[in-house]
Amino acid sequence: MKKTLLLILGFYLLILFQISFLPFFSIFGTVPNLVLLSAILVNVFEKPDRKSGIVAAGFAGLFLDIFSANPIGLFTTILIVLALAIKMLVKKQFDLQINPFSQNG
Amino acid sequence: MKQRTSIKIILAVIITIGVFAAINFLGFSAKIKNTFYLASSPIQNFFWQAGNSVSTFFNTIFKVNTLRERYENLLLENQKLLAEIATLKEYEKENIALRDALQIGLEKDYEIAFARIAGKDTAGESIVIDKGAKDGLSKDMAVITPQKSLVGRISGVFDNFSRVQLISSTKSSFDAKIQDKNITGVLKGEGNQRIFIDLLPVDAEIKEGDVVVTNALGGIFPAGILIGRITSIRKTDTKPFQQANVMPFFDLKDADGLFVITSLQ
Repeated sequence: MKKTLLLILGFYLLILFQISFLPFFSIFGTVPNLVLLSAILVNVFEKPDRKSGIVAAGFAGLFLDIFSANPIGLFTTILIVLALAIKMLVKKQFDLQINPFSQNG
Repeated sequence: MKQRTSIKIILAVIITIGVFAAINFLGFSAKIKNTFYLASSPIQNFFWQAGNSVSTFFNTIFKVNTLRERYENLLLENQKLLAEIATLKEYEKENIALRDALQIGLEKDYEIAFARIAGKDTAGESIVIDKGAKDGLSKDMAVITPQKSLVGRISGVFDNFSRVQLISSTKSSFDAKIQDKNITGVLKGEGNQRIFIDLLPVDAEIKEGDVVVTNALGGIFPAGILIGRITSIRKTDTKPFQQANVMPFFDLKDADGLFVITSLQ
């Protein structure tokens, strides 16, 4: 719970940093989407059975929607689905490493 | 058991879609965004000022070689403009005298409201300013810099904040003309702070350095607001029109405060 709250706070500060500090350092008018990148990395490096990454990714998407012209729910849905997909892939990879001869793996 | 889990998941998805649809179609989206912008504005202001300071510091270091050349060019341009001002002052005197004679009042061009930039949209095609519906702003109002360079138009209004679609947005398209020449075209955005002017007559004599201004024909922006300077011309024999790349006068990195044109006089 504590980890999830810290992640949500981190994403909130990161989105504000991305839209208010980074525009001064844009390359050809483009600023990297650090929130999207961080949400992906959190879920890649987190254990597949943990849920805090998925919840945090949902909030990251919500912040991306709020601080953009997108309708609320667009990036929220995208990042939740992406986080779930990453968890499934990581779990599959994890299972393969434990038992590479498993028929299910 | 598995079936119950599937039903629960489907139900959760339906409820989630319903909640998001309600938020977006019943007007709660604007209120939620406005609340977040309001709560975040102190932190955003801090990041914006910090970004400006750090950027200025590094720009000074990396561009010190070009500063001398830029200084000399600006001195020359300044002298040229001073000469133009002297001529224009004579015309102004004549204008005032004629207006007095015809009894026409000298009116301001338009009413303006001052606003600060709160942040830039994640897609980079719009910015958020700290004035909204409560300050008398509404959609489609033009936004300019203190130097009367065009920034964009208001595309979304919240209670205390507004979203400004930049002229470099890919969704931006409006009438423009080459200053001092009777040549009109359509100014379009290409994203990443790039703009170009399209549909210029193929036989029109335009050159690099020509200034592009707004044209009132489109009904979107008032006439005569500075847009940018032509940097290169795209002309092919196969197309019936020519195009030109335009360097916008407005630079987000230099902007501190902006003006919103609230009404035309």
